[in-house]
Amino acid sequence: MGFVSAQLIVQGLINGFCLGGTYILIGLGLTLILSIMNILQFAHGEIYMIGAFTVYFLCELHGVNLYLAVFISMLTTACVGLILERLFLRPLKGKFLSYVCVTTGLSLILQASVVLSFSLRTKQLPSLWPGTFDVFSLLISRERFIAVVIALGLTLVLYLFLKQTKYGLAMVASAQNREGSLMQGINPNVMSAMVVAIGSGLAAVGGALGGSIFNLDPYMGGLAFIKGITLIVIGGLGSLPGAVVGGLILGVSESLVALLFGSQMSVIVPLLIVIVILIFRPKGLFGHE
Amino acid sequence: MNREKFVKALVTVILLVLVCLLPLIVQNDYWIHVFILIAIMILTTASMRAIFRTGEIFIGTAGFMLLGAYSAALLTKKLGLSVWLTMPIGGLSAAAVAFAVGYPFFRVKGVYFSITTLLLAMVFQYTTGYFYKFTGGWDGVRFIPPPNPIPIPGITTLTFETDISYYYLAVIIIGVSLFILYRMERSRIGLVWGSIREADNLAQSVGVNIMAQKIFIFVVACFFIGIAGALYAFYKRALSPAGNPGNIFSIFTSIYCILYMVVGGESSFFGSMIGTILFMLIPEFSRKLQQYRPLVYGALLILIVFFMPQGLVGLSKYFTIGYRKLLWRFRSKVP
Repeated sequence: MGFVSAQLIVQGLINGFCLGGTYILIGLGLTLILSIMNILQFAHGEIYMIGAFTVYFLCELHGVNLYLAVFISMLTTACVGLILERLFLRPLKGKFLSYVCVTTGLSLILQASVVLSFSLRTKQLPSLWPGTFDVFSLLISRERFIAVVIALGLTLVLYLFLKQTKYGLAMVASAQNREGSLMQGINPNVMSAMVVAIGSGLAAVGGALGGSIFNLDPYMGGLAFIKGITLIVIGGLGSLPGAVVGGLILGVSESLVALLFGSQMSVIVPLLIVIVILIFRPKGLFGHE
Repeated sequence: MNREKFVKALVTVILLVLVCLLPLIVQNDYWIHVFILIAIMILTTASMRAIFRTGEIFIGTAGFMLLGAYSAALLTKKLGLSVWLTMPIGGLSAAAVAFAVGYPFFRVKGVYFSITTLLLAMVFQYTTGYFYKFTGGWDGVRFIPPPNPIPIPGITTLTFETDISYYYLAVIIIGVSLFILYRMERSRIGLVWGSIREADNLAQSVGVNIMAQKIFIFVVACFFIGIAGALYAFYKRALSPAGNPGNIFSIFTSIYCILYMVVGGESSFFGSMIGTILFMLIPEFSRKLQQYRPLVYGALLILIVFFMPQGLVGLSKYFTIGYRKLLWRFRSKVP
C-alpha cells in the first residue's frame, strides 16, 4: 500500500462508476421484478450470464459487429424473459417460496446448459472501444468510459419510459399499489410480462458490458445476483433513483476499498455498508412505506 | 383414534430402529459419510424452518454454520479444550451473534430480512478468509482433533475416530435437537409463531411481543445451526470458507436449505426432513449423469413445485385417502 496518488484515486473512482454501471443494469431488473411481482428472481444472474454468452456466440463465433450483437442479445434475452414469465412465473400465483424454488431450479438448468454448450473455460469478449483517453494526464480506459455511458444512458431511457409513457406509468402504479392499479384497469399480467422482459434485456446489456471488461464464465451470474440484491437493499425496493445511487455506492466503495485495503476487503466493506444502512433506514435510502 | 396412535408409534419405532441399524445394513463407508451429511443438513433445515414458522425466510444458514464450526474447531485446536465443551460453545457463539444482530435485523421485514441475512453470511465467510492469522484464511483449518473418547468405567471406552461411531454420535445429538425443535413447535410457543406469521398486528394486539418472540426463535435456531456446524467440523476435521458450491459453508447451502424445506412441504415438520433426505440422495444416485446432473436437479425442483404445491408430504394425503377408500369399499360390501 503506502503511496496512493490522486491518479490512483481517480482511476479507482472511474472503475467504481464502471462497476456500478453494470450493477445498476442487473439491479434495475431485479428491483422492478421484486416490487411488481413480489419475486426474488434467483435466475436473474443467469439471464445476465446468458446475455453475455449470446454476445460471445454472435461476436466471436459468427463475426457479428459487437454493438449489433449487444442489441440482438438484449432482444433475445427479453424474449427469454417473456417465455420464462409465461411458462414458469405466471402459473404460480402467490407463494414467495415456490418462486424461490422455481427460479433456483431455472438457474441450475440455465447454468448447466451453458456449461454443456460452451464448456467451462473462461472467455473474453472483444473490447468495446480499445485504447485510453488522456485527460489532464489521467489515463481513462475508453471501454470503461463507454460502459458507464451505456449503463447510465439505458437507465435514463428506462426512467423516461417509466415517467413519461402510458405503459411506464402503469408499471410504476402497479409497483406502488397493486390493488389500486388493478382497479384502474391495469392488467397485472401484462405488467409482469413487460417487467420481466425489460429487466432481462437490461441484465443482458449488463452481462455484455461486464463480459467485455472482465471475463465470461458460466458461473458469473451468482456474484452478479448478489450485487443486484445488495443494490436493491441499499436503494430501497422499487425505486429507480435508489437503484442508481445504490449501484454507484456499491461500485465506488468496492473499487476504492480494493485500491486502498486490498481486494479481500472489497467484498466485506460494501456488505457492512448495506447492513449499517439497513439498521438506520430499514426501507433503504430511497424506500417508501 | 387408538389405531391411528398405534400406527404412528409403530412407524416411529420402525424408523428409529432403521436409523440405528443403517450402518449395519449398508456397510459402506461412503454411504455412511453421505448419511452423516444428510443428518447434519436435516438439523440445519429444521432450524431454518423454525425461523420460517414466524414468517421470515432466513438465507444465512451457511454463515451461522460457519460460525459454529469455526469457533468449536479453533477452540479445540488452539486451546486444546475438550470437544464436549467446544461443541456447545460453537452453538452458543452462533446463538450469541444471532442475539446481537437479532434486533436490527428483525426491524426490517420480508425480503429485506432474507437479503440481509444472506449478506451477513457472506460477511462471515469473507471475514474468515481475510483474517488468516487467526482462522487460517482461505486455506482453512486442518487437522482438527476428533472428539475425545468417553471412558465407561469397567466396560469400554467410546472413541469417535471411525465414521460409524461418528454416525451414532451425530444421530444422537441431532435426534435430541430435533426432538426439542419438534416439541417447541407443538407447544404454546409454536402457536405464537403461527399467530405472528398469519396476522402479526392481531398477535401484537393480544399481547404477543413480536420482536422478543422472533429474536428468541432466531437465537434458538442459530444455536442448533451452530451445533450442526460444529458436528460437521469434527466430522470433516478440515474447514474452509471457500465459496465454491461444493463447500458446505458457501451461500448455496443456505439456498438449498430453503429448497429442501419447500420440496418436502413447509407446513410439516417431517416434510423438511423428507425433502432433505431425498434431495441429498438425488445427486448421489445421478452421479453417472455427470455434467447433466444440475439439469435433472433443477427440472425435479420445478416439477415438484408445479405438481405438488404441498410438497412431498402432500403425497401422504393420497395414501391415507386411498386407504380410507379401500376400507370403506370393504365395509360397504359386507352388509
